[in-house]
Amino acid sequence: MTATENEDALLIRDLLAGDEWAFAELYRRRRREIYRFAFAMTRSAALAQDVVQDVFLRLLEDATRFDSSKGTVRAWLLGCARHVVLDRLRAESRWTTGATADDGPSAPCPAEDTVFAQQRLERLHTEILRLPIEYREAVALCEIAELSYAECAAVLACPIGTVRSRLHRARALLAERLAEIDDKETPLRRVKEVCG
Amino acid sequence: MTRKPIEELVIGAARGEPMDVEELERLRAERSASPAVDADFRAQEDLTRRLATLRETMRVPQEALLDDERLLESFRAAHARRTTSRRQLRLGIGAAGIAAAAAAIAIVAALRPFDTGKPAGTPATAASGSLPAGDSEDGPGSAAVFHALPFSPGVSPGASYSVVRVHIPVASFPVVYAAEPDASVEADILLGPDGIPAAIRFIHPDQVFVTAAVDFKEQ
Repeated sequence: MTATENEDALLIRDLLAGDEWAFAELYRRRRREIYRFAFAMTRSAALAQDVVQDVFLRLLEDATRFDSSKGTVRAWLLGCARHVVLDRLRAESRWTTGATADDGPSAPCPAEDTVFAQQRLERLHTEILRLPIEYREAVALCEIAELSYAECAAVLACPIGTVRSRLHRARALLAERLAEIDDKETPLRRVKEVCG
Repeated sequence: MTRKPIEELVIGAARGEPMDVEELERLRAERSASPAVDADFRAQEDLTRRLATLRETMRVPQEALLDDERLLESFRAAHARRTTSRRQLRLGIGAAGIAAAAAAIAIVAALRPFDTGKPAGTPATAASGSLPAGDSEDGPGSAAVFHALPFSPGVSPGASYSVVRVHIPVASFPVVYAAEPDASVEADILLGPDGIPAAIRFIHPDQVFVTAAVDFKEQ
């Protein structure tokens, strides 16, 4: 366990004893990862915000259930986030990729390169959402929330080897699909560059 | 040791996972020998870069952040709920313990007059009247001792306790038939420093015992 993870476990202990600062500090430390994970899984800013709040409200009720021998606080919180996300996805029937992007308020008209870069990212996110749910979870946890294989295995309650193989299959699928899309897009972009 | 498939090495290297020298050499050799492996490696490297950029763009919107005051309000409310439910649980355990102890004492007491040869029909009031007057006001008689409650942490000699006098309705004794359901018996509850009841003593044990014996017989 790293020093940060150790500190997280101490924060849980302190918040259980009624320390307000400990709760606020844990929120500040971990809210971003939870938001990223939820947003990666759903591409809905509103839903991701709800997930962050749900996770920390659950933490207030269920902090006694945290067991440091079973994993890190980060993995535990992301495990809670995963359950909330899956519940929401089930409720909203977002298992398919029909979900429309909800990226928050739109930015002012950016330069063309920025538009292309943005489109590339949106395509990547769309392809992540098209992955089977097990692969999507592996990508969201390992690549977006930056969990180790071991932490991810704790969140998903499966062996490390399973996490690794899911992630590798997911990445292989993503690379293949993005290559197909890029092949179609490149000639169009060249024409735009030449013609202005 | 089994060799990793080349696809695993390609993705591992593109993600920046630690690799040993033998694996690095093998990957380099495979990339040189096979354009397909080299293309896969480049595609995976590109994917790693794109995923990193995507990750960086996923920032929590300002309006999504709970402000400190709201956050702390939720925390205080949850903590208060948790503390209350813990206290209720303790009191619940204490109450269950008191009821169980009272029931156990009553069962033993119900049989005692017959063993001691005391007349079964002795009225309860007579027994209570036999106690010194001061006992009922200032403290229990010599027969009143504390009985440890079931499920309680026990009484330790070094700890400080407080005594709370209570009136327990006779009807709450589950095994005793009560001629007067509204009647109650006086008892002292020994509360530990954590607020958990640890022991109980009946102020007029004879009254309880005889009442129990009479009621038991009449029933």
